[in-house]
Amino acid sequence: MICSHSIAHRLSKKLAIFTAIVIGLVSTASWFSVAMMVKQRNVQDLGVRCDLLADILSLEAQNGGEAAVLQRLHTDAPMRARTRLEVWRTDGRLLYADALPAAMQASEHVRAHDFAIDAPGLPGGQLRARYSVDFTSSAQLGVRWAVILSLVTLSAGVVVALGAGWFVRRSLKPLNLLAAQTRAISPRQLNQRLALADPAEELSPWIEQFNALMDRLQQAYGQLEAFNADVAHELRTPLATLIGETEVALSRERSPEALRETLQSNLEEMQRLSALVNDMLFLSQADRGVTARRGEPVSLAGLAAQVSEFHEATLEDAGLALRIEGDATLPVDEPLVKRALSNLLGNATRFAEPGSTVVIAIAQATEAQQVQVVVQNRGESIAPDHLPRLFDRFFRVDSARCCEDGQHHGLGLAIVAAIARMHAGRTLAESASGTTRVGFTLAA
Amino acid sequence: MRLLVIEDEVKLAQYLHKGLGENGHVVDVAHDGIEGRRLATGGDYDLVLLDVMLPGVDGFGVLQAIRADERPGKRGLPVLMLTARDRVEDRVRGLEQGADDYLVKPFAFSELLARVGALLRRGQQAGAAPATELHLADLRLDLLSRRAERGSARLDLTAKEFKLLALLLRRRGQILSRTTLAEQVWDMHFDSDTNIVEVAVRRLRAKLDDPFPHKLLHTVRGMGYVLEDRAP
Repeated sequence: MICSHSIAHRLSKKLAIFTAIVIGLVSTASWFSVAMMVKQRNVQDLGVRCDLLADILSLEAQNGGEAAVLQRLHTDAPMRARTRLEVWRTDGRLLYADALPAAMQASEHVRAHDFAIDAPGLPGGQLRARYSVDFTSSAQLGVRWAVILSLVTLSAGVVVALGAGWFVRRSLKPLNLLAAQTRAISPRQLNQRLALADPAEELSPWIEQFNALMDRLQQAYGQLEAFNADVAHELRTPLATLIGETEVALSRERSPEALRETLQSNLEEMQRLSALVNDMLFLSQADRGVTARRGEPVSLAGLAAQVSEFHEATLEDAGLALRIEGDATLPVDEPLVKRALSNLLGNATRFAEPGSTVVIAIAQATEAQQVQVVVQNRGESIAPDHLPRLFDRFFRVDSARCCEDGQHHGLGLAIVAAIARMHAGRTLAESASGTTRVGFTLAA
Repeated sequence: MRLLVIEDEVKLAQYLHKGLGENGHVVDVAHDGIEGRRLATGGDYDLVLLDVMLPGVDGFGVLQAIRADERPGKRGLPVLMLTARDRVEDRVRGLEQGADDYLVKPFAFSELLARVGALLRRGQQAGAAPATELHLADLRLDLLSRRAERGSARLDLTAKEFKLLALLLRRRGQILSRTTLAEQVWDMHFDSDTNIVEVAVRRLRAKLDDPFPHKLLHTVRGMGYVLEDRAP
């Protein structure tokens, strides 16, 4: 894997350092507390032994004076191996001293305790004594233990590093799997989705989001492909007519009238092409995110009235009446809103029942700060599964009826949707029991 | 009228030269911005057709040079911008920098001719009082009382039909495209469903021509409509 850094490597390194620090701290703390305890214990021990010595020697002094004390000290000397007792009279003269043990001579860990012995029968009634003990073995033990603890800390770090590395690599294996699955997705296989046999809680949301993204992409890609096919089809038909007509016209001598006829027919066809291209350009601008150029606030009912004047003749031709209901004053892009209204009205005119009334209704939308403009007509209802696709490019509910006149290339409602989008609005369409309502909202 | 066409697309420039020439104009063509700028500021033209995308200096640069060259007292040289980019920014920029009108490619030649005519008229008729009565053959339009008559018969027209007829009559002999009619009569500035204008014209024709043997309103296939008194 080409990576700037490895998660497993970094994680195991960090875990190892962390473990070593924690264990090191615990070891240090325990070492110090134990060392202190041992020291305390030694001091206590020394005190107890001194008290015992004082009691015994005091008793000897009481019973037999200095001679008995000396006798006792000599007799007990072997019991004080590796320690040293020194006893002085009150006037400072040495009464007795153990031979200095060899180990004690060079030792730095000798602890001495001075104490007094009650000696009622002796001059001064007291003896002074010093008892020295060598704690070198304790100190050595401490050093050895410190070494052991350090080794434990180091090895724990190493073990954790290796173990964590292994575990993390193991846990990250699903990521490699996902990478392989992602690699397998191509424009030809957009229906592939990511899946793990044993999904991890942390990865599931990521996989879900990725799959949802792929759903959206697949849909968009599908629409794009369909759109391309539709565009090709829409362009091919008039182009074929143009080429054919021109070829036929040129194939033999023709009168100027016949040639004029051909040119006129070609001109009509080319204008149709030009209109189609212009509409597609407009849609692509909206797709690119161009927004409406809003002017001063205008009355939407006023715009609707202008548009209905434009449609006056076609409405009358179709035997339709028109009513405008409601009003709202908004800053909008006037030509765009008129265009959207004109497209909706044109659609309603084509599908309305003769003799019925087409209504342009302007009202507050369900969203706050949005105004909805709806054109309503009586006529055959649109099937519910067609409603969501109504605003798709080149979508025709009834393809046979619409294509014949060649006037309507199926972009009218897509343009309405684009204009709604350019005003931060949306489209709406409902159709039931012979009433169809199609419209859009505009953000204030 | 002397026109200057600054357009780098050779085929388009050729057809503009031919088409405008046949319509009674003297046309010079420049194929790049530098030559165009030289001709526009040096020559004596009545109107400039200016493409936006040009080699050398772009249309905006040429426009700036033209406007910078104008001296007080000299009548401004009308400039009609042609742009392939159907972008609002370009149009706004062009108009802000002093273009008199713009056309987005692809455009209908009839549309171009109408706009050129309008710009040239604007230059000539400045100050002239507009006519209140228009005539053509036995058709008479009184713009003040909004009466339309053919011979002795009064035509019962709706407000928009009257406006449509007045426009056709004022520009008699000129082919007016459906787009022009939608813009001028109904203030609809977009590529509308051509059917709508067709139906409106058909209804006007039913009142204007159908009852009379001598027809005035003619359809020019693929281009638009023209009102003229043709010999029977």
